[in-house]
Amino acid sequence: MQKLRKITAPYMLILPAFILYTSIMFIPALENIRISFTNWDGLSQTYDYISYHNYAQIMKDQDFWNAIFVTFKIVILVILIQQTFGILLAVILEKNTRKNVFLRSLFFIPCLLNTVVVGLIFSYALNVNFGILNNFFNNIGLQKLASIDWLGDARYASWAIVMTIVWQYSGYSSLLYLGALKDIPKELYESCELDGASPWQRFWKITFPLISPALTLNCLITLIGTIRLFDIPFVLTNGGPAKATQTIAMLLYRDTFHYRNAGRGAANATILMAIIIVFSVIQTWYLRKREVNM
Amino acid sequence: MLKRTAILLMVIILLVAFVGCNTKDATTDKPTDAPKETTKATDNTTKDTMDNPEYINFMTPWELPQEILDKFKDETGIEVKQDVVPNSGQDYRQARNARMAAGSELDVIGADGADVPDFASNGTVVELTDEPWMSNFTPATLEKFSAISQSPGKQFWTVYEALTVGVWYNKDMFAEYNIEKPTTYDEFLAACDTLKANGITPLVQGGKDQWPLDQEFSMFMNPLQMYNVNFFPDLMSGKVKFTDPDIVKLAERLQILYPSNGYYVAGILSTSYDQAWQLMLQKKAAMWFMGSWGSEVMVKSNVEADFEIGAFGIPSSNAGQDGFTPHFLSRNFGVLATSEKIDAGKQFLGFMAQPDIAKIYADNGMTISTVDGVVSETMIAGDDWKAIFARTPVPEPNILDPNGKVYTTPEFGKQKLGLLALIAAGDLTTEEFCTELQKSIDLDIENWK
Repeated sequence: MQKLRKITAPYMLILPAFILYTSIMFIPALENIRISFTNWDGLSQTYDYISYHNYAQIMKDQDFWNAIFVTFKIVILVILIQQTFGILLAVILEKNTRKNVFLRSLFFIPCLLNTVVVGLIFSYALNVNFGILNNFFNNIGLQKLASIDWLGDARYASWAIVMTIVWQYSGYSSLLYLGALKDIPKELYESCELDGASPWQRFWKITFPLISPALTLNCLITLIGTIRLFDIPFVLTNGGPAKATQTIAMLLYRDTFHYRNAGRGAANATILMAIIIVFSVIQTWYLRKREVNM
Repeated sequence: MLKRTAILLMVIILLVAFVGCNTKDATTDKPTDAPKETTKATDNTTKDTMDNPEYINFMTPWELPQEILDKFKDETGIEVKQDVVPNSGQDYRQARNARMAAGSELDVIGADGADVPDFASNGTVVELTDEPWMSNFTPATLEKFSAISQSPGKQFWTVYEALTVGVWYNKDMFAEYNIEKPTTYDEFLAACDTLKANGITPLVQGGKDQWPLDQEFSMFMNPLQMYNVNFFPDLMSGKVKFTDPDIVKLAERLQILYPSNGYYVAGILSTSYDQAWQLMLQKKAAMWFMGSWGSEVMVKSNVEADFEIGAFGIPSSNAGQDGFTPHFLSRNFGVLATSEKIDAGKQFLGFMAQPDIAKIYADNGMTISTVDGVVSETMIAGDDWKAIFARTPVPEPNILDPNGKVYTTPEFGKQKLGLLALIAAGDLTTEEFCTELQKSIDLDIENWK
């Protein structure tokens, strides 16, 4: 009996999580794949299997390739800028002074806000006619900048989205980097100083390699979160101007609920899921290879 | 052995959960290369309805006055739980469809656009033809009800206000620069140029929401449908093409959207529908292409304009032609066939068709009522809108194929607004616009076949 309990215990422990995960993640994902091979409109009780028709249609759809381009453009920019800001903030706010503790909390607050609220705030702040940013540029005499339509001009709209995301999540990234920074032994810095290394050399040769596990985690979280980006562009630009900020997730939402083509929406979702899995694996594998263990 | 049993147990649980999640009816599982027509979802004629419901769920993009809902409750004891999601063509449509797909408890819904004939023909909403209160609507409205459902002699929807498109304008600005109310496209363009010459930006639009750009589009589309009721069938049969020289010429009207022309307030594609009115209030523009329903956003802004507001019909006609305007009934309400409270839903729609209630509705929404004998006294620029309604209506376009089936042009519908946005962004000429429109129609023709 004792032996039996010992063998089954680990399985019993993971069983609740397994059932939960399976029923709300794994089964819907499988169901989604099945629906992607149908012409279900999302409302009817019946539908037909139409083989790979939805996938073939998607591959021919210019909007899909545009959405892929838009999504990856945003993903790359967000990863680069957010990680830079995150590391910078973490390094600046590393010491446990009262001011730094306050600033850490301040930078973390945006990530607690609802993304729809953040989207609405920025949609007003960046409005060309009555936005705070354009008014600011206008008041300091920078007319050229004051006349930029941040949300309505395709050249700037995706940047507006990127900066909104970076504003919201840089504090969160910096928190993960802070944790990694705390783990770096002070002796390494001391010996480095004795060797006459400059601050930049200290950062590049010690800090950066030793926070690479946090970088891997941060990049992965940002990658997954941004590839399925929906809410910020939905509120901020509604996918516009002229589809310049229409992401894959917006496209699948549009197909499913606007055009009542749940089959095609499911095919879009399946492709999105595959993209996330492939890129997460590649990125994690690559970054893990570069990690330095103490 | 035990390990195997545990794994087997997990697999069984997984399978049970998987089967349990799949609640769909049996389907044709034979793979085919192309979509097939879906069979009718439900038979609404055999649906049982609840006798004395305490409430009905009403989902709409067009908020009804609470006064009406209270009166209905006082009279019938049925509470109407109103769930308002604005933006009928997008946010609302997506939210409603998501709720319908999820099987949420919904009884009465609002709908417009392609959903109207679609829901009528596929049995999503119940038929209302024989309801005694239908005779409260004007005969023209009843005829229109049938036309929009593409179901001659039958009614599936009710509409309590007649709508048309037009241009709201700042009367004070027009008076200051001695501009007469334009009646033709040329006069409209001259008015824009006069305003521009005097340092006033002529127009504003809420292109962020995309659908408002449809108002400008109607300047191009109205004449096509006015003089050819079979425009869509002709388009689908290839008899007419958007790339035909006379149509390309007509599309030049959309050049007012070119950013280089400076006719619109900056930020046309980042300005939302309600923000467009804010810019009018701030006198940043003199005119706003918007339908008679624009009064709604004016009231909701809670700011009284410090100028006189007027309206004129969409400038679709050329010099020498009489003005015409599309009349449409786009705020449709219907009772879902899946509802367990069909009778209560019908009762509510009938209650709304009572003249005293229709008067409250019309006064509140400041609209022209479709109920016989009801006249709104509060409509903003009411006399102007009555004059617009008096213009020759653009005939209801024929959208039936030779077999009597409703043509669907999803690709055209999908691309049209995006292409208009490209014009407004300065990335597309009107000629290219016509070429792209034709490509979308060609795709629709291919799919239709």
